[in-house]
Parts: sequence; structure tokens; C-alpha cells
Amino acid sequence: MRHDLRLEGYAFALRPVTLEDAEFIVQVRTSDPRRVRYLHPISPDVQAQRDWIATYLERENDYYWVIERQDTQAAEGLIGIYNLAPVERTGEWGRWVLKPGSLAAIESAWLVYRAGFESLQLDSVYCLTLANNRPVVSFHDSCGLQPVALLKNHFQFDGQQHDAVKHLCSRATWPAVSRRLEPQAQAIAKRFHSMK
Amino acid sequence: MNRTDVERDLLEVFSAVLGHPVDTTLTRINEPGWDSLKHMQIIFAVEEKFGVQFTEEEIPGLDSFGKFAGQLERHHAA
Repeated sequence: MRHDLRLEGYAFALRPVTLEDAEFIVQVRTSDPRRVRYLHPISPDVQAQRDWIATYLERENDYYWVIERQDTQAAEGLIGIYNLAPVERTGEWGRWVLKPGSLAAIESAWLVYRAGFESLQLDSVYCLTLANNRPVVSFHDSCGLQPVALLKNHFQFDGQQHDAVKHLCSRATWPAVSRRLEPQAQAIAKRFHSMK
Repeated sequence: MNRTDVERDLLEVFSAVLGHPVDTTLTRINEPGWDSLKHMQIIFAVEEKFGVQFTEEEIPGLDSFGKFAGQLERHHAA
């Protein structure tokens, strides 16, 4: 969806994806074999990715961001909220991938929840994670989210079906989740500043 | 502080953050609870316990008990 929703945190920001991000998206989604196995495969062709972005830009209820360092504007990852249901006031967050070595995980998750609850005024935000992606399932648990469902054979790629774990953050639980994420995001940002 | 003392104190920190006893074979791959949030909690807790500060470049690579122990030795030797 073509949008201008930008979120700024302590060290990182979410800025809308543009056509010019196609090469970065291909690079970050295909280069690290440890992460690639948990992602829907995409074509390594940059023009194909540009075409995908062009289609995305015309799609309603879909927000896709590049995670970037605020001090350098360097792109460090991707994240999105999509499948927005305006009546139910809910949305799914995902497409979450970071460059190896990035410290943006905590703050980018905090920012995407802020986008959902504060900017988009959703009542709940959920995420679906491959059940065997244990580090990310654990991350959502550590944030204080409730695993609300195990969806059998929810994902289909590479010719196989995969189970998904659904975690939900409601407007009521968001303050507690924020209290776990925001201080860590602040501490990481302070580290960046102190190392300059 | 010798290596044994470092390992003992380090085990305490890891066990406290991860919420269960661990041993020196601990790695980020074999511990499913060692996620990105816990990683930073471990980093900050170790820094406080040992009075060191890891660099931004060191933090992502500290993915096992052994690497923490080794890095602490280097910091204390410096």
C-alpha cells in the first residue's frame, strides 16, 4: 500500500518500502541460509521483486517498512503489518527479517506494535510464526505475548506444509509488552551513542 | 578472577535470565529460549556482573557460553 507512515524510535526507524528497495529486499531475504529456511521463498530476480512491490503499493490494508538505523539511514531489515481487517480492527505483523548481526529486533518489534496500536488504532495485532522457528516463537513468548493457537499445516512452501504458532497482542496487553521492549530498545540505542 | 570463577558467575547469570539451570555447553542453537530479547538481557546482565562493556560488533557473535567466557577473559586482560 502506498503510505507515508513512518515510525521513529531510539536508534531505528521504520520507513515505507519503495521500488528502490527491491535489491535490498532480495539481498536480505535470500542471503542468510539460517534465516531463509523460515521465510517464504522469493525470486532472486530484482525486477521480479520490483514488480511485487509495484503490486503491493496498490494493495489496501498492507503496510511494509524498511527498518533503518537512524544515525546512518542504513537499511537493516524489513517488517510489515498486513491483512488488516478494518471492521475487526485487527492486523497481522510479519515479513520480519534482519541482516545478520543487526541489533534491531527488539526496537523494530516495539515500533511495529506502536504502528498497530497508536498509528493504525488497531485493537489487536497478531503474528504467525513457523512452529519450528523456535527462536522467533521464543521471542514472542519473551515479549509477553500469548500463544493463542497452533495452526496445523498453515504455511505451504517448498512443496511442504508447515504448522504455525499464532501469538496475539491486544490493546489491553500492549502496555505490558511495551514495558518489556522499550527499556531494552533504549539501552541498545544508548550503547550506539556511547560507542561513537 | 580466574576462568573457574568467571564460569561460575557466568552460569549464574545465564540461569537467571533463561529461567533454568544451564551448563558450559550452552549455545544459542541448542537453547530455544535464547532469543533476541533474551540475548540482550544476557548481554546487559553479564556487563553489569563483570563490569565490562561489549562493543556493538561483539554483541551478535556472543552466541555461546564459551564465547562469553573467552570474551570476558580478553576484556579483563586488556
